[in-house]
Amino acid sequence: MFLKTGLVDTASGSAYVEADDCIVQVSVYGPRPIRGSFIEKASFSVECKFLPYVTKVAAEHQNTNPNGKPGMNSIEQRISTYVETALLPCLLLENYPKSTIDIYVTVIANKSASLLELTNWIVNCSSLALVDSAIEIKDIVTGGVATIEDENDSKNSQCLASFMNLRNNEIVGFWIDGGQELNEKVLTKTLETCQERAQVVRRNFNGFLTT
Amino acid sequence: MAIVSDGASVVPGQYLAPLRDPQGHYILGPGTTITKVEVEDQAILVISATLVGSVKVVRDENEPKDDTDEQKSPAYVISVAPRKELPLVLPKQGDVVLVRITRLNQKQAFCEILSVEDNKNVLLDSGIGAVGTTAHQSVAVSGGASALTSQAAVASFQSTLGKAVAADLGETFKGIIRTQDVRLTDRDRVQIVDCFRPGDIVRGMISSLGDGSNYYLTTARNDLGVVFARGEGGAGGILYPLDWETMVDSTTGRIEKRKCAKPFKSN
Repeated sequence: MFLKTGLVDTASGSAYVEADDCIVQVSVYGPRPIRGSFIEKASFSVECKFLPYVTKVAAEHQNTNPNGKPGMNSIEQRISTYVETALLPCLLLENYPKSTIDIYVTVIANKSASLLELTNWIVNCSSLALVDSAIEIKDIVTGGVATIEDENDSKNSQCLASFMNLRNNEIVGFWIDGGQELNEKVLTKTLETCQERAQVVRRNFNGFLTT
Repeated sequence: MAIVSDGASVVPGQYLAPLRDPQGHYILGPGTTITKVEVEDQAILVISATLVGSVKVVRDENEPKDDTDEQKSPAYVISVAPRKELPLVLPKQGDVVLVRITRLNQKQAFCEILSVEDNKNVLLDSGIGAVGTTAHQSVAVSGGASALTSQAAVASFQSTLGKAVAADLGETFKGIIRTQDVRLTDRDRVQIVDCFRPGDIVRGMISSLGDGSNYYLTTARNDLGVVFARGEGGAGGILYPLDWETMVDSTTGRIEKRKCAKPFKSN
């Protein structure tokens, strides 16, 4: 894994993560002024974009995006929504009245990571970019992906969960991909694996940030 | 005792001190927030960091003297000094700021906020456009969330160069100085054109967060008003204050009207 922050000069904060052959870059802009009516809390938006030659995850999902934001295909839309949901609980939006915080994600390369693995790195990278921007956050959000294991499972389902480790391991994002049927035992075991992996990422981030 | 010692470097989320312990109680300073931690079915309120930086623990000097409780425990303000310089500051109510006048009308002067006194520039670029137009379009007219509804807002949509919109440039926080906020006396006879001109640099105070697009500023104090101006709509020489409502052009001697800030510190 390779981490680098602060590469984009014009952004408030940015992060670049290489994990295996999955390369993600995130820029954070804000707090920027808004136009329009008064808002007490900052508005927050995430936009994800695959570079045109990144086809691994993008091509596997058909572009059915009738109601989404134009310019993003359905998979970019889904990733953006997940990242937005996962990061919202960690932000102190009330500290930034009448302004906006915008996150722009660029997927630079991806050869083998699945949708959930890729999304996980995007969330981790976005957290790092938020830290770099010195926007106040309650905790660093990290996540882990686990394969759902059941004796008679052949569907290769995966589970992604994002956590705030220092706030009682609160789950801030949860996404299951695949047709596996779930029961409580399997889900608990899977979430534990996710949490362990999130903590490993968190440990690495802490080390990276304090040196 | 705080969990971390003074000067230790911390990451966001890290616990700094409990709100209260036998040695004293702690007050939240900048860069901290409260976390509720559950330990053994008990919820404890803990102060945690929100930034990467170093911890500062300072004895709170202005704690209220309480006669009834003589054995009152001392209070400490715990804060996190960011390691990296903050990219920008948001102007708050009561901040003294430097602004540039952009346009006038009968009732008010419009301006953009350049910097916050005793702090730093509000935006890195002071109005040249922090993002530019090549990769990401800046905030849409109705705020950040709806920026995505625009085709041009998409990263890979590179051909937006020719389609720059007003929002791309001058991404500053805007302000308004209304006639009644220009000076303290004779407020209903203020003529805006006799007080400010576009291009003037004005020292003002934020009186309110205002509406969505504008902060409301006031110059109704002796030390607030025009601090730097050029004569003849910017074409002339530098103006120097004669009194609080007159300035003189250093080269031509022409007199112009402004609401000047008192250039000296009053005792």
